[in-house]
Amino acid sequence: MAGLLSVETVDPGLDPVLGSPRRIFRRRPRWIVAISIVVAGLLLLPLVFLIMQARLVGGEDLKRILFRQLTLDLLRNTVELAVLVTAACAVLGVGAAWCIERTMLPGRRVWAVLIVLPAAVPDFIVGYAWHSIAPSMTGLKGAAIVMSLALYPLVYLPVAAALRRVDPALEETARSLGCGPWTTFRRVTLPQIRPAMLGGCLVVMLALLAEFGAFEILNFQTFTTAIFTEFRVDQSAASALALVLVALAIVVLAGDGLIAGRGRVSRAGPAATRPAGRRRLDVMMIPTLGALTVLVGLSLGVPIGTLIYWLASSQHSTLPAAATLASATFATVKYAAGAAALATVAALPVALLTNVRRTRGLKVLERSTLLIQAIPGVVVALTLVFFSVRYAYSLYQTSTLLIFAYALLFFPLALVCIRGSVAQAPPRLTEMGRSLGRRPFAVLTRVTVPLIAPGLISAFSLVFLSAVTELTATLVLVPTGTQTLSTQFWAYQSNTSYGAAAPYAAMIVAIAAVPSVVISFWFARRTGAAGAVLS
Amino acid sequence: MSVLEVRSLRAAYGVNQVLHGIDLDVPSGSITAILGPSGSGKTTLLRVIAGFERARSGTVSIAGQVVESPRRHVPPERRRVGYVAQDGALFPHLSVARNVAFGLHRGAGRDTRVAELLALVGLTAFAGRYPHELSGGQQQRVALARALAGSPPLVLLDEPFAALDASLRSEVRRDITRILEETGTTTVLVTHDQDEALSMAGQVAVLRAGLIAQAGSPAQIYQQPADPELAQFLGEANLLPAQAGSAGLKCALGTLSPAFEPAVPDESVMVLIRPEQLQVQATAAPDAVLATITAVEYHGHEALLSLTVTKESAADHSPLTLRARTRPQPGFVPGAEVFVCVAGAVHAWPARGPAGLVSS
Repeated sequence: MAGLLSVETVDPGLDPVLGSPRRIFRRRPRWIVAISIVVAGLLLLPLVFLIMQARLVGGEDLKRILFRQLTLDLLRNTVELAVLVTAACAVLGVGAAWCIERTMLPGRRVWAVLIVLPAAVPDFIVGYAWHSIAPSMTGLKGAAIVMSLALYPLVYLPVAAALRRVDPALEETARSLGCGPWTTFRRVTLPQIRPAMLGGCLVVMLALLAEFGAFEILNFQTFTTAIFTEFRVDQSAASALALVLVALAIVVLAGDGLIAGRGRVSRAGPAATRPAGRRRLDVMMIPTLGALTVLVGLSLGVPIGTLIYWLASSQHSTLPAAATLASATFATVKYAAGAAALATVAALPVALLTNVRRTRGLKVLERSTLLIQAIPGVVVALTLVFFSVRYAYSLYQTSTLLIFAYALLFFPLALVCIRGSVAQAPPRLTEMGRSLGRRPFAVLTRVTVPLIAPGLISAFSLVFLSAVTELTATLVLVPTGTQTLSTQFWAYQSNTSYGAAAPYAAMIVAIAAVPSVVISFWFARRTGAAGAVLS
Repeated sequence: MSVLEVRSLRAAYGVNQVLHGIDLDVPSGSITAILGPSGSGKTTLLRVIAGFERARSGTVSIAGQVVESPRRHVPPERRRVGYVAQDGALFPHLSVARNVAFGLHRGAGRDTRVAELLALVGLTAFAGRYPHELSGGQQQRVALARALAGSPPLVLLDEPFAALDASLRSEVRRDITRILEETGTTTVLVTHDQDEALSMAGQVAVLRAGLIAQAGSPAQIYQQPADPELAQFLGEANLLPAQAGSAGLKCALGTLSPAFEPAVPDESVMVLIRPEQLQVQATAAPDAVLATITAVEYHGHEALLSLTVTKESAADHSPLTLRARTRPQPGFVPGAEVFVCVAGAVHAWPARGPAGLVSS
């Protein structure tokens, strides 16, 4: 699951009352810009390698590979799935957000947690859970159901945050102008939450394009599964399909710009501090509770329940040696920690650009680092293999390359986290420190660092947790002779040894999924950008 | 005829009683201000009238129809009450014209009505703009046009100028008063700014701790407030103890003539002297009392002086401080000695409690 990250660009530091505080940094610290350029260059490497690979294949061959039935089938599968899942996620996400944010639902706080937890379970584990108990869940139907249940929180989170931000006076005014509750929702509330909803839908689509494990398990052919298969047989076919996949993802990513351009949700006056009113459910209470229970049961209960079932039944059948589990856990933690450190260090200078007076060039630079979101894990892995085999054989199948791949994939997560907290340390405060008689270095250590430290910690943690749950790039790049939790899980589940695979899946959920929810909540509360994080 | 009638209205948030039995009549075509400090319940009262909150007991009738009672709650969309929120609450996704048209039904007359209203608020040229492209004052005028579009019998304004810059406020206030008067709109304005209430409204109801402390014309409540506390809330007030007698009210500043004959002669009373009732002169005059200027607040067109009365007459009292509003004069500087006397009749209440309650 690469780039499950808000495409909603937070524009921090802009104070509507006091004007742009950015003006205070007159000089752009050169080292920040220089390092940012290097980081942006590294992030563009997969794209560069992909184009180099395609050029090696040659135009004629590319045409031959691309203009055939397989490509068409993959395209149709992808589009069909994207339409179904995105629509389902939009309905489930907006519906759940409205029930939890705007009604007097009993136990709202508990529901608010339960409803986002499914996002923390890696999709391949959800796919495995469903397939192991309902083998008929395959193809488009299976993939659509499983992915909708796994991804709807990506719409829920930004929409719930947007609902909290809508000025209640807007809805009240609409009521006083003669609109009933439903008309008010359609004509006033919906336009206000539409950018958040569409943003969430784009993230869902990016996740669908990048997903590999769940589709492989559910026997549903998409670009990622085809690339993975072709990669072993026909490298040129793999890179040709990768080109199409990346092109699709770039189209989706570009959609973000359109949303941002059209969304007029800015509040004209000062921010409202009053929370919106909640509706009584009355006769709708039981149906609403029932619907939410079914949703949480299917999206969270089934995966966790299945996992527990297999864990319990594997006690007396195919229990893997505890030593294997321990060594796989150790390898996973080691690589993930390395990647987290690398991504955090690389994201820091780019995040600091936020506080610098930005020129057009710097904005392009910052945006270009987010382009990596369009490149699914399988493609990153593919291009890194291409590069190492051809130009740096000593790196091939080393942990360095795997850690580098993780850092590339999850860089945007780190960037969003750190940028969020850099916004908490606006230049105004730095200036204040200076005016109180402190030297720049003292201001850095006593003001800036304490303020952005939470962002650094959450960036490290999120990248770490995402790397733990990574499957696709790991399968391709894992050093020979080493097993991580996800590769070991994959090996067992491919042989339909569901019981043997369960402990590895459980370990992944335990060390990654659970803390990631805690962090995403904490982060969402701090920055208000609730959609910014996940898994 | 009253467009709005509120009868023994009580409202609460949970166990927290906010309104303790409000009675209010708003005559047709008038502007009524509900004035109160924050926490007095004025916004709750407005929200109950609009239908956004429910009342515990009592009734609200609009144009003769009961819209709120313990048995009945007409939803806001069926009350036909125009509502202007504090920051305008313009729909950010709609242009100015479409904001104004929001509550109007599709039909031939709609565009004409929108054009008419935009002309009324002087924003015809801004029809295609979006809310974020307007100044705060323009936003409030659009919000008013939108509220007036359906010709509601009653319009509610919830602190409509609080979010505006001070420099803009009086201008927007004038504009909006003119529009409301031109259209003869029955209006309820909620505000915590006594200046706003006194200058805009034909009727002011002062709300205090969930009860109407006093209602009347602006002059009435400014000159004859119901009690000393209200007097201070409505503006600068000098409160002096006095003794009522046949000659008038005897106090530290001499014998003053009462606005009303005191009910009981020889009674202890408290007199209210507004700062503009004090005349300050550099030279001695009959009946004038000697005072020292301790501070000057200069406002250009006027000056607010803080004075200490140097009293020989009542030596047992601590020095009496006064606030006086005068035309600025070069001799009025801190430390200068001046002569003070009271012009015109003064309002007085029977003194309650200990007589130590002196001056503001």
